[in-house]
Amino acid sequence: MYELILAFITGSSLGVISGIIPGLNVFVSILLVFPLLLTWDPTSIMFMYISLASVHQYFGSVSATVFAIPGSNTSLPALQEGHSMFQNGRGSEAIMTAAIGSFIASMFAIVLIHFSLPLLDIFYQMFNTHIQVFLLSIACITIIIFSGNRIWISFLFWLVGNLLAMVGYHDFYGGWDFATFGINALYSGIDLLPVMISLFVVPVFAKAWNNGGKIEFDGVTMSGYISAARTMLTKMRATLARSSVIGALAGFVPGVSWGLSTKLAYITELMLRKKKGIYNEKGDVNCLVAAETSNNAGVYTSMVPMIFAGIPITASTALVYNILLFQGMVPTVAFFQSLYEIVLIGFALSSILGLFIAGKYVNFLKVFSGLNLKVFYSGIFVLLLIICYTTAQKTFAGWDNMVILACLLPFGYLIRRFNTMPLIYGFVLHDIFLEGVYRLQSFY
Amino acid sequence: MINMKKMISMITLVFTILTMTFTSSFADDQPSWEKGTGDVNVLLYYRPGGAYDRMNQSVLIPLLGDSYGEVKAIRGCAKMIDYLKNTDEKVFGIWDWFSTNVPTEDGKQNPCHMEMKNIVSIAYSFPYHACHVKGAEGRGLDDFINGKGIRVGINGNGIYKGQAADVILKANPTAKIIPYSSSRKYLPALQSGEVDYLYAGQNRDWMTCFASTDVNETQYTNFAEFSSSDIADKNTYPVFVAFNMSMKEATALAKKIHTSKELPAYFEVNGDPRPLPKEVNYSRSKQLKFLKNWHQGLLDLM
Repeated sequence: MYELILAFITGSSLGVISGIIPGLNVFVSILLVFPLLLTWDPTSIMFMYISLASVHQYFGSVSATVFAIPGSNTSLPALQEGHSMFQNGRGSEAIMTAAIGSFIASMFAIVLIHFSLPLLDIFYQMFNTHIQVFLLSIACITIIIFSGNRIWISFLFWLVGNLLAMVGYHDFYGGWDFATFGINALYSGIDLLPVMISLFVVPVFAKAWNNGGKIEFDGVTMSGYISAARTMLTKMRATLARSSVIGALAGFVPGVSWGLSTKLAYITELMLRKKKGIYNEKGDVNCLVAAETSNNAGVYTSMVPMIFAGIPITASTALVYNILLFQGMVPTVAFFQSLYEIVLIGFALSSILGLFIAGKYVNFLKVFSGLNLKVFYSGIFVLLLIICYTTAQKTFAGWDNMVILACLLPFGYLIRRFNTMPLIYGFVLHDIFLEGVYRLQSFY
Repeated sequence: MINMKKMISMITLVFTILTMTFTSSFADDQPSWEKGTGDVNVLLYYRPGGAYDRMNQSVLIPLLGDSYGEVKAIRGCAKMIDYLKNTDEKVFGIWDWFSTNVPTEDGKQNPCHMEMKNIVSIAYSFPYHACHVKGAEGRGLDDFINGKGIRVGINGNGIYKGQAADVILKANPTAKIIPYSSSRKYLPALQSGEVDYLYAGQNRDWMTCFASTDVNETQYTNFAEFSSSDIADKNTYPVFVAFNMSMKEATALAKKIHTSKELPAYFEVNGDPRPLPKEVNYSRSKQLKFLKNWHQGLLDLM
């Protein structure tokens, strides 16, 4: 029992830290406590993991909303919509609705999986290249059409994102060397962080810098939470239901999991709202809720293949699996299934915790209220530079990241008038999309 | 007028975030590997927590004992080669020599090219198995050989793709070879029925494996018995490499690993016990010749 409590505290604390700091994703967070995990029993490891992954989602969206710091690529919609709302004095609304949406989706995912256990075989059909390529194609086409730029510009951005992601040496494509120019640092490809900072965050900052003004942020209150929950349950039921289902199902897709679920739910909502002409250009709360709802649902369902089939489908669950191997045990399907209840409890508890401590953390951020936006963004930019360097320096790639960032920054400034989301989507989804298309040919 | 309370809160918050950033990054510098007091470093260019990292932790580091210095984790094999060429520190490690020595598409030398002079010995063998989902109706050796259009999932990376395709297609010319970039993708593919069989190193409790490339794995049928491929009875072989160490010291360490109980225990834990290949008993020059010939044979298949 004592170890379970320790596991919960460790997982939740790491979830908070990794949610706030870009580059410190769930995978890296597990590595931070790696030596500790080697001494824990498997139940505690799973309990720690699910707490970490769940709380991480709550805090990633808060940092993206307030600071425009993308905790991970799943925070992109929160950065796009949530930060726009924050800039327009609706930060409290953004945070409260995102947190409640996440909580509702978490509970939905628990119920969905629990009652669908007899149908688990059908879920496994999601491990299918055809479905994956179809979903990814829909995601890419929709973001190109509905990003708010002219379609050809969005397509160009998407293409550039793909080209940047292609840089490197590709063993999978027969030793294809693309645009490395003989520079060894480029053989492993370009990191997400310098691309995201220079081509997504900087345009947001540059736009806001020109507008000027001060931060208006009132924090969140319990009554605000209750009011937001009421509003959501009456006016956003369709968004919540749709995004929870998308999140829960896309969470099964190997290799991308909740990264894809977030994007799909966001894009679906964006498309529907734009078609109806009700999309709010100054930050759309429904789109934000859709993204945040789906990633929490996806976090839970991405665990299901490991629990019921012994197959890790995300990098972080694969790491957990490997830790169990490290400990000298042979993880069988029966073993994982025996952990189902503890994982379920851990997820439910950490969702409740995430909802409430995210609120407390947010209120601490009220200290920024009234601060000049230019000062605020300058500070955040310096912080991002430090983060970009230090997170890559762990594998001696800090300066590589800084050089890439410096090369891309001018472009980020030049394209500040546009929505660069298609570029980032092109970059993030490139690997799995290209591999899927490449593999499809082998079936015919 | 400056609101002191607010200012202090703000400084505290920024300081906290910066501290967390630095501590997490510095802690992350060597996240899973504690430093030793010795002077032999262990290299790691693959993903932490992966197979090579686990082998470092469970086999190499314990056997290095007091000689162990630290794990040098560098992102990507090309940058690792840069480091190895420029360091004067002693480094020992496992290297995937087969896949990193394949020329690039335009015929240039692979950026991860490892010189033969740095190879100490074959580390272990990596056999391939043909497997299907346990209890899958109609699946098995006969279907693998005679089934029309069976779909076989493989590791599609570099040299391994050519090797797998040759062995499989010379057993069943109608088979469809479906490439995946990692086990996180091909294991779910087998489970879901996207592929009928896997040709891979992994063996899990929900799988039934029936053929192997390793002649020593007598519990399986050897591929050479039903595939006319010249390489149907050959595995791949990761190697031990050493830098700034005398070959005597490095060879002694390799022998210590080969004769240890840690190495077989590692494979046992991974659910795939295997004997050491007979080639580890060859002299170093004979091992290098064997590796070179075998590698050239694989390149010819690509």
